[in-house]
Amino acid sequence: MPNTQDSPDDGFDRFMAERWPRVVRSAFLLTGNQHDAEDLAQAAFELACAAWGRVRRADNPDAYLHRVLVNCHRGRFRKRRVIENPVAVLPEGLQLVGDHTEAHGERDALMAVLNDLAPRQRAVIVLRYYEDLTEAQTADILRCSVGTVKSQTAKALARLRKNGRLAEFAQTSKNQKGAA
Amino acid sequence: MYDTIDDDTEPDTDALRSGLRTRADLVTVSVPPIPAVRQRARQRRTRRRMVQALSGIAAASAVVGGALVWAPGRDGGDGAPTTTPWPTPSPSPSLSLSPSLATSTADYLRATDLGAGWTGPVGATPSPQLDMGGACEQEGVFHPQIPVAPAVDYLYTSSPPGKPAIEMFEAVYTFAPGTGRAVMNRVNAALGVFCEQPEAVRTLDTPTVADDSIGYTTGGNNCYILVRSGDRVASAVVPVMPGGAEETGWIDLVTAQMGKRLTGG
Repeated sequence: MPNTQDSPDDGFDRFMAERWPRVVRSAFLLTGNQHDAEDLAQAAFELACAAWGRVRRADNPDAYLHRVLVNCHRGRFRKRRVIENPVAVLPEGLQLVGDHTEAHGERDALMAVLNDLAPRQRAVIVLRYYEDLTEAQTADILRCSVGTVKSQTAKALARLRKNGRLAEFAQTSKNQKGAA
Repeated sequence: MYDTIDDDTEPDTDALRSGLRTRADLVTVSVPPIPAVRQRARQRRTRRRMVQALSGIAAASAVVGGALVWAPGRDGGDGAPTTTPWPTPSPSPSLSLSPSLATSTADYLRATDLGAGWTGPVGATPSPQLDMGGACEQEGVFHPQIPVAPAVDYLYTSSPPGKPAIEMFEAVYTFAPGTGRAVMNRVNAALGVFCEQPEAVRTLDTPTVADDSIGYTTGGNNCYILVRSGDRVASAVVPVMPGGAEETGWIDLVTAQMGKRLTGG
């Protein structure tokens, strides 16, 4: 376990090392971008480390970490978000390096599904369907009622169903499983 | 990490669930940057302590400065003692602190609102900005929420026998017309992002107030209760909450009473 000279064995190193992969992946689903995901995960762990005494004593340090992650995403990354402007023709001087269409197709489909959602709905989907949290746990993390989680989940799913993204995504997944 | 539950088994949500996992697993995960995270956390704690120390010095300077201004017999600079008397202490734990303030204290808690054994309000200290606690204001990112005029901060005290005394401060801020909701939104944002993560934040129930209210605690067991009605925000601060099983019930009681006073109930 990483433990530098100035990092006392207070349990944080192990806590972070064990959770880092999962938190980065959750952050990726929230941000849709690997670079932002790592930044977001680091910001969450930084806050957890700064308050490690309290985090360690908390009933559920993982819930604390999730809460920090979602809050950081809702605040900091919302401000930094850059609006992308797709163009039909690449500007002069830019070249595509190889054709990664197939490799990125699945990930793009997923991001298209999630990008249709408002940030809070996206967080609910990630917490409920990726982290597999209960409605009560999700409500605790988002500081809202279970009823709000239910309604946000229902609205998110309805939105995905309405524009066909969910069916498209389910079909893609099914095809992929069949091909495998 | 958590107990899992599958209470939504529709095919498309199953596909969503498995798809999310599959796609997330494609993410290349780097080595956890533990030393860097520790270093930044350490810098954050150092910044916090410095700001707290500076705040303490500033507060002490203000007290000393105030004492010098009011000290009886102080040399006025020309060798002659001044005749300025000590300020008259608040005569009683009532709301009649001064004629000019009496009209504004209708929105404030009475000692009886807080339970048996409480006294106050006394003190009447100007409060030029919404007090969110040093943990939130130290970062320099959160812009202080400034009311249209400085509010008045009052002190309430309880000294239960055999237990440490409890102090509570309350100030009622009036913000520019139409900005009350934005103030609370910024407070919520600050609690989620800029502040040292508060230990507990919860939405409080204020039966007489249609608008939002919130309570939170920060390090050192500080407790903050904010209740908004329109563009007015009542803020109660307990620097050290005694804790215990009755803490939640007491906070709920105080919140309800704050809402009641704020709405003239």
